[in-house]
Amino acid sequence: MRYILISFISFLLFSCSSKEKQQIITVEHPLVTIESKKTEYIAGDHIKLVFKTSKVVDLKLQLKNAYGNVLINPTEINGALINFNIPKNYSRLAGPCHWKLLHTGNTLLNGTVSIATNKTEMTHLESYFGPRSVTAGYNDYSMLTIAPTDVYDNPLDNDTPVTIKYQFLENISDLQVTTENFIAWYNVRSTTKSGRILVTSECNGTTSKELTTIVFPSNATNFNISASSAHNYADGNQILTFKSDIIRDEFGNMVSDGTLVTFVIKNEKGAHLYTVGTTLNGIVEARTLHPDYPAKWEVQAFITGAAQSNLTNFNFQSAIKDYPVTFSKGNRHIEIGSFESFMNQLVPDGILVQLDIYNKDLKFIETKKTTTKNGSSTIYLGAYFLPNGTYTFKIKAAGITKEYTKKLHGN
Amino acid sequence: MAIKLNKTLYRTILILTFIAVNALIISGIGSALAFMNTGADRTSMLHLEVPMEDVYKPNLTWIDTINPGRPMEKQALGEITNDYMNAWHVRNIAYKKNDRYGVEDFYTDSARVRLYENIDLNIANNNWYKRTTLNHNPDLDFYSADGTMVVFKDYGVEEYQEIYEKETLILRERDTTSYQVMMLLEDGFWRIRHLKEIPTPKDTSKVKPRKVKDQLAKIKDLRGLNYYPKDSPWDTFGKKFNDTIINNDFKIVTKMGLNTIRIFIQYEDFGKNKVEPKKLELLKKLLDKASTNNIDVLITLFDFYGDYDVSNWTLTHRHAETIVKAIKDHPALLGWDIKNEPDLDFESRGKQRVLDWLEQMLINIKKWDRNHPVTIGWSSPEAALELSNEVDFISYHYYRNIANFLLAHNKLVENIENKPIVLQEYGVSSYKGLWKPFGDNEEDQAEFHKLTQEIFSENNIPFMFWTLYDFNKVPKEVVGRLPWRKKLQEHYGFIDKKGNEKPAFKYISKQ
Repeated sequence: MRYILISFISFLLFSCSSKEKQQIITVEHPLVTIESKKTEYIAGDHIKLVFKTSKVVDLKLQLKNAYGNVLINPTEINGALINFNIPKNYSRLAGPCHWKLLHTGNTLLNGTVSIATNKTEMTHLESYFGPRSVTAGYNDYSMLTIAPTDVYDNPLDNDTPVTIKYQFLENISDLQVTTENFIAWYNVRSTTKSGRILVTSECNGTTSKELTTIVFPSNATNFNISASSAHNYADGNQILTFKSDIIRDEFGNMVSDGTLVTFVIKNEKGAHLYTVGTTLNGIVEARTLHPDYPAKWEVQAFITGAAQSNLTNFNFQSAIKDYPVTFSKGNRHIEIGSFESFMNQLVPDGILVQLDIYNKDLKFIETKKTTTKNGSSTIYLGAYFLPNGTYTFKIKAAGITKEYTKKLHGN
Repeated sequence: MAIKLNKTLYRTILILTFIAVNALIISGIGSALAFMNTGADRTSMLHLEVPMEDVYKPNLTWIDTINPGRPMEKQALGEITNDYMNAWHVRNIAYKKNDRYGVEDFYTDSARVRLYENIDLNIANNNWYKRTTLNHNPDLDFYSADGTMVVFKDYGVEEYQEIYEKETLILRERDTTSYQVMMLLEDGFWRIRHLKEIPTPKDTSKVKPRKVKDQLAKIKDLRGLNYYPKDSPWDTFGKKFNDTIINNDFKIVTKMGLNTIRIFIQYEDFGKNKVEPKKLELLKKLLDKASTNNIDVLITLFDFYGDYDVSNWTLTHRHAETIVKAIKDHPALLGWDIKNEPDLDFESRGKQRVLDWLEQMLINIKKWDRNHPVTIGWSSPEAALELSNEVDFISYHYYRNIANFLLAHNKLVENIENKPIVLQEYGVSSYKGLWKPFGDNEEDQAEFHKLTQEIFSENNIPFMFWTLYDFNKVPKEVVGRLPWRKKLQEHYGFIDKKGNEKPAFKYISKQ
């Protein structure tokens, strides 16, 4: 029993002891020479590295290119000759491919195989064109960049010729550029006429797809406007239309549809009114309502930051010559109107009527506003609002002011 | 009786099971609910720039950004740099785990295929790689007018990699390669379209030769201590930092006839790869005080750091670079101790992994600071043989029986040619009490120091003892939670907790 116990304890002790130190193993490395003399390949070639070894041992080949590393085993051992087939993703990438022959973690031999881009097979073209819109004139341009690659997606060597063709209206131009730093590029300059520029490119017999940039008109230049309406009576109902002639940029291109134009109207009191319109086929139209009292308008249009129009005038004559005012019900019920327009027709609804009330010492009390309906309007001044007494009333409508002094009585 | 006991037993078991089952059900429902509430954020549809924590920060300097295409904007350059680094990082991770994760974000369709083919080959051969790059020097060739394509050369990319087959390390290699890169802006990501190795131009820049002789001469007469303030041990640059206290301590140091102190900079405390400027300010203040008291300072970096993994090398490099470049011209600086007792991490992290990290760090610090010597604070004279060719002077610690000290020291001296050797830490605790009833008392400690001083002066051994003060509190990260270790660690000082000089004091200050 005791022996079992002791052996058990000693077993425990031994099993708990720390790991034994690794023994240093001396390794004899074989003598290795490389048999393959070729170091220049073309992408896609089958690459085989052959080594001659003095002793057949476990050899590995490490490969390294720009995209990474791999450790490969011999594909074939032929007596003293050891063959390594380079995997396709290494033999297809142009550039140096470094190899190291390893034996138990030691580098026996190393070297580099240089792989050139494949010029014999088809070329692929990637082209980029941007920006995709430019403005007409002499400053703007779109850049065409072409990145040609060989069939294995390796960028072609510097100085590979690339033909660029571009078309605008009747002109088709072509020119030759060469690649540098993976790409060939050309700045396609904007034209003075608006329209579309189409570009394409060609390298080693491969043509790219067609790419487009749109030449938009440049900034607008100054333009003329005119105002027109069915009549010039200030009836507060008719619509006044502003219209420009064709707005063009400095090169004579019609400005783009949708250009925003602001019309600023200044009346005889110095107040400003606005209306806006957008262009269609170079012409802008904007509308506004006639005033309801005689006025003199000065109108000018602006394209913000770019252009302005001439100054044009429009004068409104009064449509309403006069209107009657009747007081009733203890002078508390005031009927203003009916208003009659320039052909004695009833004015449209909505003419502003303003009543200013002053006490007998001409001290201002209150303003009442209303609008006409069916040609006239009424105001009732209740006793709760104005106690009995003498008041002065000023009535303003359609640019005409009338003044009355009345004694209010009753309720 | 037995039946009754059984009944109670059954009852208890039943109740306990009931409670356990209920708890399980509730936690199950809880985690199901929590799961339902997580998911892709809707904003992820917008492909907004995702704020990423710094994971990969090799040294990168643009040589220039002059190009015929379009002037480079600062914003775009930042985005390109970021995504280019991300591309290297995801590639390193992909080759480490042999996993395609993240590759599609930083490589275009045709480029990512090449990585995938490589990963497949490596899976088939059971290989994986630990890789990192340390240095990039990109030089812009072309930036397209619409800002969606960029071509640049990246010169002198220093790469480090370890090749593994299953769990065995096959090969470690460092090399310098140059690349030409084309990147395209797609869906808000700059992605690598082409990557081609190009010849590396010969480095014609002249590097100033290192000048460490003056500093090394000081080491021969080095008499010093390992310094922590009394109330903030292992936290010199924490909230309790007070330069008046430090100044007073330095006066004591001078009074003791010492000329050098060793201080510690903690990796996380100083902000990892983004070193906090405030901490650097404090470090400078301490060095200023040392300078006014004519004390040299040996700075130990990377305290409480213990990962050493290749994947975060670059972060530790940025940490060290910021500190070294900020301090290297300070007159009080004696030299750099890269790591305290790294040999204690050999077992848990792997010896090679630790040594590789140290070796690279030595190379880096020698590059950033040409005028100060570097060393490593090994925990024993035997370990001090590691990397002895790379360091400028040897440092080791000795806490074993003092009777065997000279033997061990002389053995080390035999194996080191012509490099100063510093006993960087030694000492004895004066704790004798509940946790160590047969320990040394203050008199024994005094005897110990009397003896060691004699040995050092006879053999001309530069020394730095542990430490100035007895400490009230020792953090658990230092010696663990065990009270007998903590208590012992609290009493290594020459001045006790109340601020009185211990008997040992006179044996140091006498000389």
